[in-house]
Amino acid sequence: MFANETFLPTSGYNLYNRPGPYVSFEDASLVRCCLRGETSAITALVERFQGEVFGLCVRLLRHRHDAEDVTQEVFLRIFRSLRRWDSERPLRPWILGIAVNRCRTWLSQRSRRPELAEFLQDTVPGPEPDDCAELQREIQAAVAELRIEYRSVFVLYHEQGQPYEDIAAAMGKPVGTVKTWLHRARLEVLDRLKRRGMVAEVEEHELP
Amino acid sequence: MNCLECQELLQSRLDGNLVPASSDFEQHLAGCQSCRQSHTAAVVLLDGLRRLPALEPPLDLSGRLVAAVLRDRQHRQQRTRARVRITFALAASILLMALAGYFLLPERRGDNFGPPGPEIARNVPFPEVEEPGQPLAKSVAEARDAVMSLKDRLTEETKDQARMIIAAAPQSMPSLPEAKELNELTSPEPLDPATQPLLQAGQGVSQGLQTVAGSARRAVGFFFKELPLADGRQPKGNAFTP
Repeated sequence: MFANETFLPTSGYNLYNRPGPYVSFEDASLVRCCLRGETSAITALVERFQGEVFGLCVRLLRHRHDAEDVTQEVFLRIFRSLRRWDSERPLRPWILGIAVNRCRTWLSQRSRRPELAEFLQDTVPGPEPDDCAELQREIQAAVAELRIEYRSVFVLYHEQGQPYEDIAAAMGKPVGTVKTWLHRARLEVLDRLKRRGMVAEVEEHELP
Repeated sequence: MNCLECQELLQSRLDGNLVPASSDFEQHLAGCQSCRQSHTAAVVLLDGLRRLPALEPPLDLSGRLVAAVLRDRQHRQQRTRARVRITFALAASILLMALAGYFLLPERRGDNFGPPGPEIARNVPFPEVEEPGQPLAKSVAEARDAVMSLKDRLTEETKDQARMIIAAAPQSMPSLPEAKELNELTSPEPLDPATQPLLQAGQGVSQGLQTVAGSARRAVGFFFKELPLADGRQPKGNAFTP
């Protein structure tokens, strides 16, 4: 079975030409091997999804060490509840949904400790100092100000390239709700960028 | 084109769709500063998002995650096994206690243990169940026969026990005074002091049999009438002589 197979994900490109984790591997077979306790299958599943889960946790929590802890919690929960996964549905939204829920729980726990929350605000390493460093900082700050639902759909769509249907499955909401949240999240980010004077020299004909 | 349509076009472009710019759109942007700023900000946002550095997980994160998952899996398996063992142990102990209670409690040991009362009751022939249509008089007669049989047996056994007590008494023991009823033996007629233990034994037998049947008590009383009195006189009547 899978003990002799490789679980290396195939490379793909998402909406913004960023290397993405699109894979053509059959999720159900991998999950069956994981349930049998095959270490190679467990390793393959972790390596396939750890990047997305970790990136999502960092963007939502804005703290790298917390993101590592939450990523570990997410994978523990994934393997504990793997038997409850519906094999008729894609695996990725299910995993991302667990990650979003764990981040929300973590944020609610952290919000009860305001002194810790303040201390953690800027612990995510910022972009490298170059021409667009300020713009990237502003975008990250704008995303960080969004409420958790808006932030989740914004990150899942614009940074992880997930389609609306998968985001809806991960969030447990209808697609229309996800579109509404994303629409409002974009307006809030754009409003902040305008207020911060980041849009002065750009011409409208540069739109795609 | 109005501002609402322009915003929809903006959202579509932010979705990544390639929407060709129409003359209406260009015209609206030229005249609407708010929409123009929004579209300019969208360009900035898309450009910034493209340049965001990818968040790479730490190199050792994968190994740590796999180790944590395997450790958690092993821990859960051990816990499950422990729960199964505890469950089986509890079930076995409960079963053992139930079996011990069934085989070791006195009520379950056998017929030669315990008071004779239930034996007598068990030896009484169980009356047949009345068949539908069987006359009531027949059932009543059977019940009466059973009660009479029980009374006779109790009387005979009581008499046997009393004879054994009398036989065990010393030969020099004086006789009981004459009495017509058993109750008269307990009062006033003076008895020889050596007869007191015998009298007390008789009373004990009588009291013990009170709950069994009134006929048994009467039998004891009749038997005591036959005992010789303290002055050597013979009792006047014998209840057991025809």
